[in-house]
Amino acid sequence: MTFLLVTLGAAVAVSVELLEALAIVLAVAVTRRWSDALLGAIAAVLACAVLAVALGPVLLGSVSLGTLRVTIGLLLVLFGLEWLRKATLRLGGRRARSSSLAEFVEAQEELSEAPLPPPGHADWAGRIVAFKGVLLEGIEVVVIVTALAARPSGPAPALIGAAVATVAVLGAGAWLRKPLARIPETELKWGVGVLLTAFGVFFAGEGLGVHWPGEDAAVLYLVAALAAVSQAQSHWLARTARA
Amino acid sequence: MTVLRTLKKLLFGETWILPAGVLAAFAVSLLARHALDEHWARIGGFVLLAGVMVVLVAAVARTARRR
Repeated sequence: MTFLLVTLGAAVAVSVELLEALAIVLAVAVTRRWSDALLGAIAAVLACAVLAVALGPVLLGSVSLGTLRVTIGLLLVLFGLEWLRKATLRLGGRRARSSSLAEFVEAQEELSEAPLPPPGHADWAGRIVAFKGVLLEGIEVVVIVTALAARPSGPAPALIGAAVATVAVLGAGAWLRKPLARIPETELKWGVGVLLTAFGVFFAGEGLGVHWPGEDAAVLYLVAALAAVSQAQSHWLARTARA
Repeated sequence: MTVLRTLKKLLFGETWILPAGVLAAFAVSLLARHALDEHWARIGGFVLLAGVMVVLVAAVARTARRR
């Protein structure tokens, strides 16, 4: 049960982050040059790989199991609640809906004032925008996957989820721009926020010595409770906005 | 500068109420663990869940008011 839920959580979280990074790289590639966009993106991926190699052993090494669970739980609750807060505001009509297409347009606008260097010269503006976009989304991926992978039961579900998401998003990249507008990102991010927060509460509770009724299945009622509170508040926000 | 601002947002979120509230919820849970003693194992998880829900509702309400 937990295996499937962790795999699903990692896959959806990584997909959403990679979609945003992909939108920025595509914007640089389409408006500038593919080579510079890819160089910026590859440099950011390498930086994230270094971070992942450094962060994993820090979390796993010389920390007691209880402390590890509380630390992972705290990290996941912090990340999850931030996603859930924004998604609740978006669903309640108090914030613009999430859109990778908007990131695409924003990256294009950011580059529109920098002249494209002649062929054979490095396009640093394009490289930096691609690097920055992939690095910032990549750091979130590293933190989420490391936290989910550092569970005592092993890293397999988080890594499988992340791998599936990477393949899916790279495949989606082949469709380029139009599908980005069709993805219900707000709802996806809301789901990720609920899942990450539920995992965070579950792991932290275990670390603090809680025996969850139903054991691993507790994640399901934690998801249901958090989803209900967030949906109720977004409906209330939407109603008060209309009044 | 933009990168620094984005990194700060990434680490601490957009509103201080969230990280501060989560830390408070965890601190209250630690205190409750001592107070509830042997009952903690059965109901402690729900104390933590309630704290996290309060933080979510408060953070959303505060940022919704600002907009």
